[in-house]
Amino acid sequence: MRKIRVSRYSGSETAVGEVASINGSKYIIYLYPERYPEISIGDILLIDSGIYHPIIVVDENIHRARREQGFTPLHTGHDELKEIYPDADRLYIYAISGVNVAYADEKGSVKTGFGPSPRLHDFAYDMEEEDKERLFLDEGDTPNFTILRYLLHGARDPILLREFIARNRDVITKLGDEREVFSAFFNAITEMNLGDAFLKTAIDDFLSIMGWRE
Amino acid sequence: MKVIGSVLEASFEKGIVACLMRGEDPEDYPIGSLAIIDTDRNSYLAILNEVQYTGELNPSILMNIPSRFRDGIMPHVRKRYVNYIVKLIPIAKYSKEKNITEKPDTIPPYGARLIKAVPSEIAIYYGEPDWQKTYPLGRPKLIGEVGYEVPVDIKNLVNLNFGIYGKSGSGKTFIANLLVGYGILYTLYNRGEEDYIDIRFLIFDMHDEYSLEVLDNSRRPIAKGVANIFRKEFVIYTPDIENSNKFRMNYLPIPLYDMPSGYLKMIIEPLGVTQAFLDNLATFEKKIKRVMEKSGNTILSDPGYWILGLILSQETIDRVMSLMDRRETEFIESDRSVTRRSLYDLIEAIENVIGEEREALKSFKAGRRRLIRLLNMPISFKKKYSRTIDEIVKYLINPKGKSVVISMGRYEKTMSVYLALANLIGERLRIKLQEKIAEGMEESPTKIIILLEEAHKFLEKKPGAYSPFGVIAREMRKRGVIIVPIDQKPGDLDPDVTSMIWTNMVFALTDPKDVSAALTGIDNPKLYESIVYSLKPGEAVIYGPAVKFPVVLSIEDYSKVSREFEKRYKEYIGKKRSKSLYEDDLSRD
Repeated sequence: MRKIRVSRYSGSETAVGEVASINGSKYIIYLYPERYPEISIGDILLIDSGIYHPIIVVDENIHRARREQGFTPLHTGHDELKEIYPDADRLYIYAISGVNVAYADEKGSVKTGFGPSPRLHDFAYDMEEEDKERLFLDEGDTPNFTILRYLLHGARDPILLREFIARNRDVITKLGDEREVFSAFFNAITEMNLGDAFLKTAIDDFLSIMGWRE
Repeated sequence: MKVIGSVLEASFEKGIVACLMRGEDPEDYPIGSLAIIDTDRNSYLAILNEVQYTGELNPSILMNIPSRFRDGIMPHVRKRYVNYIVKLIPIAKYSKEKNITEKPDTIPPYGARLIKAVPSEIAIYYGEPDWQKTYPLGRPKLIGEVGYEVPVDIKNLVNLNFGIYGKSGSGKTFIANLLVGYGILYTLYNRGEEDYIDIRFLIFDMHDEYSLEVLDNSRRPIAKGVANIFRKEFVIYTPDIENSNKFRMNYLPIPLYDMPSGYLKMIIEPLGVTQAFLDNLATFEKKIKRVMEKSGNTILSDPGYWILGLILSQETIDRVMSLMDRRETEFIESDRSVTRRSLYDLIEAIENVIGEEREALKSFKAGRRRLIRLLNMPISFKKKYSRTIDEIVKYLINPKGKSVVISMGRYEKTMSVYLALANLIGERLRIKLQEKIAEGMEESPTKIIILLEEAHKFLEKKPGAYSPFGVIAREMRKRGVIIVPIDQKPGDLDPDVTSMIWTNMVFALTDPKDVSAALTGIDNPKLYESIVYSLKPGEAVIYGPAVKFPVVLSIEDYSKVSREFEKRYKEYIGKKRSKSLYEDDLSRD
């Protein structure tokens, strides 16, 4: 079984943000303003929490003023505002929420499921493509989409699923034979009682995004 | 004990419904298989009569998936979305408290365990063959298991009428040969025992498959017929003179010498003669005999030849002469003294006497034309053959007699010959037995078992029709004679007869009327119908006293058992010979 390189996810240099709050399997990560444009819904982040490394899938972007009232300079636009107030970003919150789907141990073994909770201010990192692959393979290195069960448990949303597939299309493509990959996907999503409409949409989206419709 | 499912519903009327465990494959569950339902207090033996499933995945989802992906997901779909349901007929119950097997009078509780039946458990219900009183009949269908033979209890089998039904090629003849062989072994092995039954078979062998060789569906011989194996236990008769010479069988033509009109009726009725002719037949007999008695010819003045007078006409005279010329057909006692002239004179004299009544002559001539067909049949006016039927009956009734086979030879497809000989023998047997009963006989000293192929021809429900076998089936069972209808159309049998068939061996049938008739007598017959429709060649539903509980069997391979018969018979003959030598020595001492 291949492992992920947890050592590459440490220090503030490559971090995209920090854990701000935890509510069950949902984490809020405050992103560094300059990294905010890099992170999208469906992306996979890894949190360095010492021994364990929780892995989350981004399900929401949050960007708002830090205070409820006060600094709302409308009709200026972002670029003009930055010229007038170079430190304006400090007055905003750039955050994402994410659903915990897996965790890696200190040796880099990935386990699907809820791991130990991270601490506040633990650094969060955008996962490298080659490490993401590990999330879609079981211990025998055959395709496995069990993480979808955790993702959809935290956020039952067909659009989120679609985005997740789209953001990770290249990784999924590399998992192996398309029939084997599709079966793994199908098996995972049918293990949940998603309802016929959701199921149909999910299968359609998966086949379309992967280019396997015909 | 492998649990394969759980009981969900049960009723006596509809049987038992159980759900299979996830991962069980419906293809492992053939219809007709035995399974066990286990509870804390009892275990129930049940026959599987339906396998079905309900798929819960929306078909529009499945159909939207490109076909190349479908095979891959099917194992998961089956596991996740499909419920496999089996329906079972409870046939027996084993009480763990009382340690007895019995007909079920309770139903298993909800959630009772459905388990695979293994041979050792099945044997609790059916017992095991001992080759003395019980013999292997076939292997039950078990889920993934074989290797156990359900025994047939010969005494219970022959104690009451039994029937063998099935389409052509389904295996009726194989099982009949098998049962006859077992009956013979039973008789040989148990002679002198307290409850010994001296079994005699009377077999009407349409296709020579008892007397010569058993054929497969492509008409290739696969084994010796049972009478050909136990040669000394049988006397074989045939109306086929060539076969009688070739295979050393006794020649049995239709014996017309001195045959009373009552018997003749049974022979000529299938030839399409009118009712008026049949009604007048006794009168014709009287008149023809009167004419013949006055005749000057030594042969033709014998009223025993009256039927010759009945069939003789201007049209048939040449054929009668040629039959007398042809040595291959034994015809009349001394044909040299019969001339064409004397036959013409006889025709004229008969027509004059019958013509005293105009209508009678019309009916006589019309009927006579129909009787031309008799000349195509193996008939004989020789006196010696008129005694053959009595000889056959004697073989059957006499404790020192033998079993009898009527091997049809080249007449295998001539139904009229088959009907004629069977009816003659049947009627003679019936009369002989009734005479014996009148003399005070309670029961025949031998158990006579009549195997009747195409039984519906003899035992159909037809108002006013008379068949000696109908009377035998209805009235002679208690006197030790039983009928074994072997038929592909049990629906055409008289329900009064089928209701008296106790052990039934039902091979594949397709006509609902036949299926329904064949299942008369089983509890909840409707539940077994799907099983009968699904039977493969060589498989049969067996129920009745000869097997303790109903069962679906793959009948023993006759060609294999026939070798066992040969081996055992050889051993038996060897022992008998050495025993008699030993007794001879003792008597000399």
